[in-house]
Amino acid sequence: MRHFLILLLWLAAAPAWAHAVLLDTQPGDGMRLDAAPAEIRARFNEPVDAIAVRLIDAQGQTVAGPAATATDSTVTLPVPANLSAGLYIVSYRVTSADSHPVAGSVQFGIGIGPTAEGQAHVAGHHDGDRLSWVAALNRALFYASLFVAAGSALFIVLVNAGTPAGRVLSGAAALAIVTGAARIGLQGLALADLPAGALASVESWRVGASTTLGQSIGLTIVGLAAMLLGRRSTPVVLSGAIIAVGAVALTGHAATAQPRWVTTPAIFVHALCVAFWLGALWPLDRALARPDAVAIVRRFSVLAGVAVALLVASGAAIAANQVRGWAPLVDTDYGRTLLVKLGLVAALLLLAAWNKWRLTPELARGETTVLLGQTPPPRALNLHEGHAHGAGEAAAGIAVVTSARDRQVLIEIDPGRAGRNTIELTFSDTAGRVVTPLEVSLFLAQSSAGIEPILRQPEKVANGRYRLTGPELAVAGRWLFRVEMLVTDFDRLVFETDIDIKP
Amino acid sequence: MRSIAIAVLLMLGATASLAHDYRAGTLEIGHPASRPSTGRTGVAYFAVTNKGDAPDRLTGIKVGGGFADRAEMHATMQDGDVMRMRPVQVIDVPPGQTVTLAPGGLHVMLLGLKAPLKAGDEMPLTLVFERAGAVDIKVMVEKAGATPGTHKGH
Repeated sequence: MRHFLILLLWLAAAPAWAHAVLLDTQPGDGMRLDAAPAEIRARFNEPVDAIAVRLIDAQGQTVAGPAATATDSTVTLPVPANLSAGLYIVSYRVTSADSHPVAGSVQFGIGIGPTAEGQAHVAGHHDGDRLSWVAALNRALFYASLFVAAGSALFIVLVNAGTPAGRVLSGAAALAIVTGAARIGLQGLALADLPAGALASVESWRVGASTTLGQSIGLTIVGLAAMLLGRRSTPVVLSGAIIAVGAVALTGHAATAQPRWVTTPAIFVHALCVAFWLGALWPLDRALARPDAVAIVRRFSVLAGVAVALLVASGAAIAANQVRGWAPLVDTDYGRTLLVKLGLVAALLLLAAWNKWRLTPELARGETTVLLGQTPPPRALNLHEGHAHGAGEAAAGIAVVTSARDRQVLIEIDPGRAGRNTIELTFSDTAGRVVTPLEVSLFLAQSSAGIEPILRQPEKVANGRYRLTGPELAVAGRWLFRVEMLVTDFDRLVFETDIDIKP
Repeated sequence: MRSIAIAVLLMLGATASLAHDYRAGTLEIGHPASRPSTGRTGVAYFAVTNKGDAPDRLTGIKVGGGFADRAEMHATMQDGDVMRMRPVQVIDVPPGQTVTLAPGGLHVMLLGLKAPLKAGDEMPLTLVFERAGAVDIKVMVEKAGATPGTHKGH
């Protein structure tokens, strides 16, 4: 009920959201490049004027070069040709048509990788945590229904040679269209940092639709709609399915990573194979009831073998490009998710092998039925889960306590030197009893180096305890730490303190 | 005779703890207090109120008269039965805020005491603030049952 009231309030307030929103940057936040880019581009949702856009190196020095120019909604900063390897911060301050200044920073590395994920954007309101669960669930439903719809169509066309029709296929395609559309709106909310109620506003959809995710899902929806409308025509259904699944390759961290001539086709092939493999589950099950079941399973087996080989090869290419080296497999979220996924895939392959060598012959003798497991791709799995760590106490680094009203936050920074740091926030009352906020945001800014606030959402690691590991504190000097704690839906506490980061 | 002496001592003690507030610029330091210690480590508590408009911060504590080796500021965080304590370098005193160092939460650790602390002992400490500078205070060791640092009415 309370949330419904908030929704109504936000609906009334929705037209007020008109500030410029950073949609994406080239290179993207947290990206690792092999060579210096020729220029840096920041795309906003509406025309902006560039007030101050600077490239700052790891020593905190502004890289000298021509000034940034703004053309419509894109700001372009030329980059000097001899940029050396290292971490860089792009600090921007722009104004939109309503002349409201918008500022923030993003980071990228040349030759070395800042692995921090996520978009940095400017201060505002957010319903982050609760919304991210809805978004994660919606995303899982989207991928599941997309793969079932397109995959079963592929199966029926390629293996069964029948006419692709039926309620499951249509239902899955419809579900994928609905959840896909919802993803566009949710993406807009997350990017524009709007509260959940703003889902009813045009703004969130406009922002969402202007991202690569929006374009990718738009294409998926076109493909799915073609499958639904032309379901009596095999060529239409087949091309619809390939478009619907292939569109996945147009967006996402992995697909847009450099070099794109490797990553985009790899994701395309990977997604098609996953769809074929997973989507086969239902029609395969149905086919078992038919008299020609053995022939169908044999045909599927051959194609599935090819699909699995392509799946593993393309997956390996994507993972090698994303992870680079063994250490990130265990010390990044992406790496850990990938390991979990590889475990699931290995289990599935064992099951498939068992199925092929044991069950298929039994099937030929008419003794049993076949089951296939399922594994979602890592992006469907990738919830923001907390990782429990040991309670070992390290007194290293910097620790500062700051208060606001009757709450205090302990900020611990390890090692507290310029470069990669782990920042931990522990919230408590004045008697030291830990309190758990609804939501936590951290803004990091370094005014003397001209670094506008970088926004990060630290990950919850225990009650009242939040952690962020990343290269944000790239330069030495006095950093402003601004911690926002959502106490209740209506009560936000802001802590601000300066912390000296050593060289 | 002995009872009079005790009464006088008690009165002196009471007066001392009543007069136990300090001012430095816009900062007020309220009721510095400690507890008897059994070993070579003691604690100290007080409250700092910032009545000004500018933020200040406590950046260090010096031990006067060599009664201990050094003093550290510590934060304690309790989550149910789990308690975590770590030294901190800075305790912010934002404008308009009272920051209380009290049992269970923030506190000062006195390390390497020359002798265990007994009720009635007085220890000189210097609090170093970034803006207000150094402030000398005296910390009174109270009986174990007292609740230092949290006097009402400050």
